[in-house]
Amino acid sequence: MARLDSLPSLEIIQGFKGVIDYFVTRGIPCARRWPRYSKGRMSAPALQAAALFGAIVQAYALLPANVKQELTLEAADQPRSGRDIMVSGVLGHLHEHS
Amino acid sequence: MTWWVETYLLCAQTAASLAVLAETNLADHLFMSWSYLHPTRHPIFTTIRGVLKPCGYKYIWDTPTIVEQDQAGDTTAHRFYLPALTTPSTIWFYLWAPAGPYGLEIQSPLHRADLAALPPHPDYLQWLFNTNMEGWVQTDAPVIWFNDGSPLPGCLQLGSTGTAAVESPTFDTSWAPVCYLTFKHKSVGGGSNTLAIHIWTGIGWALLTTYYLPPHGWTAAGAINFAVYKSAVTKIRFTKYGFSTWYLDTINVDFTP
Repeated sequence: MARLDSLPSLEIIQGFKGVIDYFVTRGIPCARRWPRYSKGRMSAPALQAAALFGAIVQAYALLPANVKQELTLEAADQPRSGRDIMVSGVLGHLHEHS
Repeated sequence: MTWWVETYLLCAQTAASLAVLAETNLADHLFMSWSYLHPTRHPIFTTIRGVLKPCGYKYIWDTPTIVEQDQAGDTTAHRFYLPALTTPSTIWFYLWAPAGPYGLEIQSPLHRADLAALPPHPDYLQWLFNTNMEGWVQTDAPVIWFNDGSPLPGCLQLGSTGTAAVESPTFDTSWAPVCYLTFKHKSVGGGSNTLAIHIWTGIGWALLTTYYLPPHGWTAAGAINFAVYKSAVTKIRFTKYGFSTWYLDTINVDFTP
């Protein structure tokens, strides 16, 4: 791990995705070798969460055409895709009562 | 951990009511939050490698109306009925269930339904709660089956040119809160057709809706659905106006509660 004076631009950070991991910890910009995870080292809750997330993402294929169209229209002016919006809803982060 | 996604969503509007029929891949007991006003969109942000970036929007609802599905218990088919709505208006809604994967709600995407400014037909209203006979009508080509399975032939092809009509047998819809009519049709040939659907009021035919039928092929969704008003004894008539052959394949009237 190396401490940095400041983080590089987001384009550079994303360009090194998979090689160098830039991050901020306790307000200090840092860089390290891209962490490598193996399923054998993942805890049981982490594995369960990953399986759940995968199942939810794959469930996008089950949506009817009219709902997919609504999601596509909704995603037109934001970085998220229609599938991202659907996943956000299933996980309870899409709507909130004031 | 409970979760679901919508696998089917149908909004059946009438002049002043809305019926929403949804299906989910897994069983749960759903609620609907709805409002005449579009919920506020609040931007949300995420931190990517220390940089704050906008990543989408969250809907903030101001005192929406919450209704529970008609069916009891956990089901995969969910029906919601909103009577006495203001028209013309747009209904914004989403379906949700408590106790999602991480203790939060399970939420559907935002949906909308536009209510047309059609005056309610007086005949529709006087049909309510006349009888309590249960039943269903279903067709499978080449015959129509009604209630006890008695066949009604001759509902397959409606002419090759001009106007042609076919009627269903009479059936009872009075006991259910709302009914759904589904039919599958196909135009054959280069011409387009217009389809009018009437319902029998007891003293005459009332127009339920009309559809434009493009030439060639089955309807995209395979079915068109809308609410059927309650009647002790009613029947449905399909009338085709146009210049190509039109086939009616299946009819399903579902008034299961």
